[in-house]
Amino acid sequence: MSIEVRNITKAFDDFKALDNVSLNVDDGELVALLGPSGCGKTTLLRMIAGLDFVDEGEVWLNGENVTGKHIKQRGVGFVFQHYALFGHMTVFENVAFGLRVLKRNERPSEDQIRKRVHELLDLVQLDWLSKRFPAQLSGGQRQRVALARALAVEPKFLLLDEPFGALDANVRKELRRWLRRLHDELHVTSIFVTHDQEEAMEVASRIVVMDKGRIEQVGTPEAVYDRPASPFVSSFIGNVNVFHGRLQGGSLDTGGWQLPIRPPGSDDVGDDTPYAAYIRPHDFELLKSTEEKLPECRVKFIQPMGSVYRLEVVPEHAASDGLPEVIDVELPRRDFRALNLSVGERVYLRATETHWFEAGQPAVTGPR
Amino acid sequence: MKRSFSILPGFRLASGITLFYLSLLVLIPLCALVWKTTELSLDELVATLTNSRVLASFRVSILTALAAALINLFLGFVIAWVLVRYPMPFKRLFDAVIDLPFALPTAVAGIVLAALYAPDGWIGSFFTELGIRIAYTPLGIVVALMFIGLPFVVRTVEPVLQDLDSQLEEAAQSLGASPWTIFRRVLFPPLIPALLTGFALAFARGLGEYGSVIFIAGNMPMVSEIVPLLIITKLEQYDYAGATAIGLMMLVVAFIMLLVINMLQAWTRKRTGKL
Repeated sequence: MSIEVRNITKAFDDFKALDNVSLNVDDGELVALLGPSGCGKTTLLRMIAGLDFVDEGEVWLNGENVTGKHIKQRGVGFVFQHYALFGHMTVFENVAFGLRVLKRNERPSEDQIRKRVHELLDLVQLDWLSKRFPAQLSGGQRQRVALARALAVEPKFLLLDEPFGALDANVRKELRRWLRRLHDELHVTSIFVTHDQEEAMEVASRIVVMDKGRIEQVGTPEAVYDRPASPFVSSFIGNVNVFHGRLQGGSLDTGGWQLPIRPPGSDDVGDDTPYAAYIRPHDFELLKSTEEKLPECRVKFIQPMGSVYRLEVVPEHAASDGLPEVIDVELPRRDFRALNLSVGERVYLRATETHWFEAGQPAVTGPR
Repeated sequence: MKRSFSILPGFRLASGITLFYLSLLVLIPLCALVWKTTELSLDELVATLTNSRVLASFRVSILTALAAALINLFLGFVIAWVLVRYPMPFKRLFDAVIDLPFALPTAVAGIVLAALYAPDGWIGSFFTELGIRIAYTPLGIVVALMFIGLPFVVRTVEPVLQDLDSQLEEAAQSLGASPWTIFRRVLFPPLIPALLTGFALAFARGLGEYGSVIFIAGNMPMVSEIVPLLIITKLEQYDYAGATAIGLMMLVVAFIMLLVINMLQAWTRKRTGKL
């Protein structure tokens, strides 16, 4: 049950929501559409569902062109951010709705409906609430009811629009794992939309990163985190420090402040070529003293975060546009303890892994 | 909502104002009404109220108000539906026109309607050909009350309809429901309380309406004479006690009707778990 999107374009008045987007989702995958608000991820999901229609391009579900077809004919289950439960029906009737509206000759008997609904409510662990109304449930419970309702019609595809967006942080975490397990059990090809990169990393088997109506990168959570295809992906997935500068000998010169790193395989690249180095906070080492020629910084702020320590360090002897004002560094608790740093101390900064981008384009990624 | 102590200050002041205001405006006049009625002995009271002309006027008032409110319930709903859900030219103009019956002096409305629906009027002549007389019959009263009561249903249903989440429809679509099923099972039920409120308001207004009705009703005793008119007639004959007795009876009828509708609403709310 694959999903294929071919060169979709969609505009709302002057605003181009989707710009020539293509995507393949294989049978049984759980894919996240990730991006900032307004990037077109929800629009893309609604196109696949048949809740909105494309201006150009095609949607293929399970090898069939469904571009002009109504959501009813696409066999998709849809889960909304704000649940969209029917407030005047009990939980049971909500879940039963999809079965009750079937044509008479396809509709299961009342006994079968009851059995099926209770099975589904068991699956989402809410059978004990079957007689309640949606208004009497918590947000997490409502979303699980919404999921059971969508599953009742045995959809071939499950599409979820920010399913946990309206929930508390704790409930969200719990439901995330739960959705992952549910998917492992049911193997329904699923796409969910989120703006939370942590959520995408935790739940999805593949992540589609979107920005401004385009797909920036498609890959496993590991790939998009470790090998970002663009500066946008690098800075959207996780925190990152950005250094703009020009190659100068063995260093990146940000204007009077050198970071002694060079893109791998850049030996034949001439001096003065502009590059940007994207370095994650946990890809720094701090040293109290060194023989190497490393840039000097001063510790400005130390915040214990449990398993890691978050530090802000300020580059010394530097006044450059290419540098961040403060550099975020994350040290594992053990390393921090071993260093025994305090605010105001001088440290030397070493980058252990860097994402390189040449003039905004992806170039090479690798250590040093 | 559970009862809880309010953290907002001014409860005593606010409740004091509420009680004072309600007493001044509603309770005291109503008490005066009851008190005035006690001038009549019980026999006189029963005689006044069981007078065949009085009973007939009650029948006319209640039935016409009920009929008009029912028609308004249906048409008001359709109008609100169209105004909210479909794009159309001059929508704001139409929207403003709905409120006109609120603003127009009722006597003006009555005279206009009477002129239009009279057997030789623009609209009336058309119905005359069909053998239907509207003006100067109970049918004319219904027309006047339809005019007066329309805004109540439209204005109570409109905001609820606007607030209906479009995702409810999309969810129902994704579950395979047909448009008619979606309307019947998803969109309509949440509107029932608002429809009942609109109906109750239109009905209550129709029951007490005087100005617009008397011009079109013909005011024939036993046939098209409404209760408010009868009260005025009694007053003109200096039968104050009799007038108040009828007024009181009217009050009781209205109260019972509104109570029933309120109970209906409470029941629908309970069914949706919103209590």
